[in-house]
Amino acid sequence: MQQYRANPYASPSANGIGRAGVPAGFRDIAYDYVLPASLLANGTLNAQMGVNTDSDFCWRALVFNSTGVFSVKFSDSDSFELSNSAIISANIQGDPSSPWPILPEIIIPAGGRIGLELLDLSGVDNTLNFLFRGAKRFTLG
Amino acid sequence: MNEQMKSTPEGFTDIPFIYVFDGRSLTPGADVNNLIVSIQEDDFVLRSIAGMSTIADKWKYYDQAQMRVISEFFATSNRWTVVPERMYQGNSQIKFDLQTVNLAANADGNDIAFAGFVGAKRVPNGKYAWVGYESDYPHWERQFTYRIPITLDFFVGDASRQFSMEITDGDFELQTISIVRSDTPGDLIADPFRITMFDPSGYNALSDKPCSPRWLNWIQGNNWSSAFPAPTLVYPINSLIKFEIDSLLNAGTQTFDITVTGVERMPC
Repeated sequence: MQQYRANPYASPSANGIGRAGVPAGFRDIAYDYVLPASLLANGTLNAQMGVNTDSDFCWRALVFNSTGVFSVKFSDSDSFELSNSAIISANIQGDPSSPWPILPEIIIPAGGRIGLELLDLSGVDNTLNFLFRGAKRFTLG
Repeated sequence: MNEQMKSTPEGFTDIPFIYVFDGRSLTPGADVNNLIVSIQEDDFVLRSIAGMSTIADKWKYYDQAQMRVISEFFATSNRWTVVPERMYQGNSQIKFDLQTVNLAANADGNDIAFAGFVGAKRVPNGKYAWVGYESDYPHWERQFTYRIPITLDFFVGDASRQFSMEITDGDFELQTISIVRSDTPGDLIADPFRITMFDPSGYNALSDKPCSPRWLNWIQGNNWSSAFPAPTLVYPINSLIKFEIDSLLNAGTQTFDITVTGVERMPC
């Protein structure tokens, strides 16, 4: 096999993250779910990010943008909360090139959901947009 | 890097490559769908998208089967990673949609609205003579840097100019490219030029159009996360590291240093 000269200065993704680690009988395809949300000043919202029914979703990273500060508590598809309290948005900052990682990945089954309990902390109406980065995990036929 | 070796099938080699979308003809404020970048004859493994933030506020893109990779429009960024990497077969297309075109411009007012689809061409072994080259002489290795000074005294619309550096002491495995302004030392804030890099043969460009230097510039901050080439390239002794520069200046003269760092294989 041709030797692959991985660049030691480059990120793993720049060198190419293939399909290693995917369980036998499955195939991961990069996919990102977007969830827009709006909060009234000091308002709360329980939102859900629904996962398509065609495949499980491997949630591996989070990116968001907002017009103001807010707090959030995530829950998985079984409604298990992912923190003991709501986290202030400034503590989970990330952008698409360096997102907030979810380690280990969380598997959301097909048709499942990611729950969000949101609270505005900015005191004015707040427009949010979440990007759940990861992969669709398809079953090989 | 067993994982990477597994991702390259038997009989093929990955060559770093960038497909470039030139957004300068788009209308500011518009929403534009069904934009495409055409893949050449070899399969292409997409690993990141650079510079979409210089073209529009939001975007989404599609896989080879025209299925969305992002469920809805989302804010663009300087660098968008693709994990796991995505394969586009030769002669296929990368399709994407833009929401609210917002073209970036440099200090001279020239649009610098370019997006780079960064990854690797997957070519059959033997397609290029240099692919698979290994140093066949006894050697030891050391880090080495070549400095290539650039004087930008030509202007937007002028013919591109070539700059090169001969590899002199031993084969050279290129690992990083750093570009800084040298007359007033500092980062490249907005593109004063575009750049095309060539493979070890000196004949084949590593992009289909000139690139933003920020996509190659390892020293640049601001979440560009640039590291090119990946995988690395080995330039044999007496070969040339060659760049072609297209100016985006209207007037004046500026100077830059391109430094290429890697591993030199010294004969012993």
